[in-house]
Amino acid sequence: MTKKNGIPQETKDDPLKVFNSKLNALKVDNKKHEVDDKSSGMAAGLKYASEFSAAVLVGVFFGYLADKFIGTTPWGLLAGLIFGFGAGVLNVVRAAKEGMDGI
Amino acid sequence: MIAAGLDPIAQFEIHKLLELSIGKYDISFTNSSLMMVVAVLSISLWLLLSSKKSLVPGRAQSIAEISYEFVADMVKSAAGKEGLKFFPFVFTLFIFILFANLLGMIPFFFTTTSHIIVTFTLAMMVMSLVIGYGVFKNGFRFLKLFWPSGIPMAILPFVSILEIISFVSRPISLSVRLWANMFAGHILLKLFAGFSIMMITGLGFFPGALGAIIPYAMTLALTPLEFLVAFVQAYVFALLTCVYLSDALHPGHH
Repeated sequence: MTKKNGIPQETKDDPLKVFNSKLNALKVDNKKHEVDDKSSGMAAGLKYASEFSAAVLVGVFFGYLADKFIGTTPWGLLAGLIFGFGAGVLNVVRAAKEGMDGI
Repeated sequence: MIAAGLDPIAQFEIHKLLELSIGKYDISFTNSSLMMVVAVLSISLWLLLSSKKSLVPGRAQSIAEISYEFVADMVKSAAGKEGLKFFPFVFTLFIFILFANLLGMIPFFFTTTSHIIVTFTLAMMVMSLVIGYGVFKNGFRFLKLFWPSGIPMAILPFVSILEIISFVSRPISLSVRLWANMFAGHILLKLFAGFSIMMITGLGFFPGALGAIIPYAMTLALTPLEFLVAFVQAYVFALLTCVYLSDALHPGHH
């Protein structure tokens, strides 16, 4: 009886242990894909700066083009600036979500 | 006077090595073109010489196989199995940028990727492939990229405008990121190395060498960091290419 009790306990423990070792193996395997970039804060800064400023530039450019061809002189540029700002925030949020931390 | 030859920007100057022109277009062979040719030649040499296809790979073949698997894994994880048809393109981009960056780390060598027109051309190649393949494969459904589902009708036009601006800004941010990293890194290296030379030439050897220790230590610390940046930026460029290509493969779900 005690043996019977002992065996289920062991087999009950085993799948968890097996799963844990598999998980740990996977964790190590995944870790090698992350590029360690803690040392380069400049790269992280340039990432967000370029994402944000590129969108603002494109928005302003679109607004300027609209002004030139439709003739709504100050308003297209202003609307483009605001939309570019919004798209810049969208870009930054996406860049942060991509999970490539620090790259 | 002291700073002659220590100008941190001078390393990015383009010199014509061979004057060429077609019609009114100047297509002279410059030092930048030379470095691109050197990069392509060294890549070709490495890949051709290491492809003996022995079952137990030697050193060069191992490196070639590891880089193949590295890029293939990256394409698979970012763009899925279908993305593998773009593997040759992504691999070429990655290896070319990596070699251009690393060759730039050799003293007195020109860094091709420190010119924004080069990185912008690479980014535009990626974007035209994304748009071309996306339209070819999905037709009008490609425009779903700018018309996300599950957003209230009232704000959908505005979101769509934001998506369009965000899409058009991609090649700019992609090229600026690679260019700015290489450009800033090389300026920093040259500045700190120049400081230590200026200390010695300005103050004489005895107090000057003491003062030169700190900028010299900075140069020493920055050099491996720049090698890391050279690799990481090539990786980022290739990875973002895969992310954008996955948009062309499956528009609609972000």
